[in-house]
Amino acid sequence: MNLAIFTKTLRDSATLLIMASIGTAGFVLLFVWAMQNLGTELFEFLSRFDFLKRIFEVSLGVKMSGEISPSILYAVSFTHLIVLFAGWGSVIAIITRVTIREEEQGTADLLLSLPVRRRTVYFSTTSIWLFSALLLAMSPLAGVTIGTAIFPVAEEIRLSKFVAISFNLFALHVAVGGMTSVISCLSNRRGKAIAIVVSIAFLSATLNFLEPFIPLVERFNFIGLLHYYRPVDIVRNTAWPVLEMAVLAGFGSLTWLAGLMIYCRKDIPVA
Amino acid sequence: MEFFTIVRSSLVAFMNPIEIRQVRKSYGPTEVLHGIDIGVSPGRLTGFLGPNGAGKTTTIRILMGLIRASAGVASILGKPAREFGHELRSEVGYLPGEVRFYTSMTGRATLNFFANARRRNCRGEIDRLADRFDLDLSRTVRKYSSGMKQKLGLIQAMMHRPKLLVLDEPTNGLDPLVRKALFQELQQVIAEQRTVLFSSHTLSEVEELCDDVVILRDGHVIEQESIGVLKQRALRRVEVQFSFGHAPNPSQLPAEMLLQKQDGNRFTGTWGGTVSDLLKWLSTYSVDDVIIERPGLEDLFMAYYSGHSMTGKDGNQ
Repeated sequence: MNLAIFTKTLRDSATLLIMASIGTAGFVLLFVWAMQNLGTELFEFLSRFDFLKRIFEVSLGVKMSGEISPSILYAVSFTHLIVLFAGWGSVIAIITRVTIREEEQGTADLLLSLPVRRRTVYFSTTSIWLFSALLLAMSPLAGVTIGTAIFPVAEEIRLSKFVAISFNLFALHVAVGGMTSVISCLSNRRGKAIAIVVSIAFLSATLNFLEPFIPLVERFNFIGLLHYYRPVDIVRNTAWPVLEMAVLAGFGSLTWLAGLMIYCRKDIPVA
Repeated sequence: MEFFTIVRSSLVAFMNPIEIRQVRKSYGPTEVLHGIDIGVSPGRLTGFLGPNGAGKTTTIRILMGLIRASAGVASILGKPAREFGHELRSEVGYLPGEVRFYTSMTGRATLNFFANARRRNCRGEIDRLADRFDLDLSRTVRKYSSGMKQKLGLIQAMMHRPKLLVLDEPTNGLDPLVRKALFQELQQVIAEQRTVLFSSHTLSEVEELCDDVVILRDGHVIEQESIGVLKQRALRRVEVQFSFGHAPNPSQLPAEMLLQKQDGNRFTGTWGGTVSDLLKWLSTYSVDDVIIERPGLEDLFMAYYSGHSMTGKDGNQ
């Protein structure tokens, strides 16, 4: 780890990270407030109109069967596209900053002519991704914690379940970050790398949203990252989704390692 | 085989701060370096010349570990650049051809970042060089002109007092005063037995500054010699005014004399032999006037660039 490079990357990423984290926590806080006021009525209303209920379920990617509790409604906020894309967007922006943007801007020439191993540069910069992923995964938890404190409901909200969801979300961000690392190391243009990662993430989200409703999709859903991210199931069941988290973390670690190997051998073209 | 190549390269490179042996570089089917050999002697200022696209920047980027050679070994300070790059770079200062910085940082923050990443305290040298090159370090890089960015690049390359300086077109955008200050700094570097590789398009500054020169064209090294020897070896331009009725028969001129123009008794051409041989030949005639000129390096390099040697050697060797 090179402290100077680590500190600089952290400083460069700080504004984006803080804004994304506060934004996510704020959004979840508003979601909790909205669900406290409208959730039960909304669900009762939707229950009367099956078509509208289905549209609502598809938009959230969650099947609203069985008893709907405030906890389940709050857990839904963790699957909202705003939460997911704020997290993924930040992770993608932070990781591609060093591996490609420095190349595009020509600053990689000086950075990589320092007496620092490339693996140290890679580690010092992408390690920010782990820190960012953790912060971004914990920010919805902060939103729920603050929201439930400000807007209490009759049901006891077990925050330990939301901690489990947050770690599941952390593992998801790790997977997206690892995938971004390897794709950015293979690319020579930041825009291209981001487009590929976003396409894969979008495909995964689409598969996940269609999974409860189209049986054919269910057969292939294991290829999507979101298949291993189950906030509503965590609230319904008591056990932590250890296997799912291991799959996501394993995928993230392997792709991150693949990115490291490519980065160490990569030719840095003239900007 | 590769092992022995590395061992051999390491032994040879023990003597030279830069040693490049049979280095090739291909981008897909296009080969841009065709097995070049370069040796840069210690404590010397070596000019690295060549027209655009000759492969100078590619060679420098291989030395700095930014790109990998397709074949061959490039060594710095006695060790293969690729394998020991991170160690070697602590003793190398590098200025890229088009230097780019983090635009939101001030000049001083930029230099502090590089010094910290190098784990060196360069504060004294930073201040001295900033003063020498007249650079305001308190402004953000975004507000710097291209010349100021070049000065910043030079300071970051020199601030840790490296054993080897690799400068890719360092005078780009510099005004004459700063250029002069840079030359004095580089001469001081050489006086301290450190080594400089100075890539340039400007032939006059290489002639003024450098001890040795390496000329690259189309991915081949076409000349590698000291400036003095190169000048010595160059053909002389000769203009002789023979006395009336004493002009030699053009078909009987010595082999060293290449006649380009005859205007009555005035013969103009190039002489490929020694000056004493020229004088000996002229002494057999009655001569009214004689002009012997050594071509400037510029003429010499233009001849190299265009593929027509003026040293009697084939420019495509």
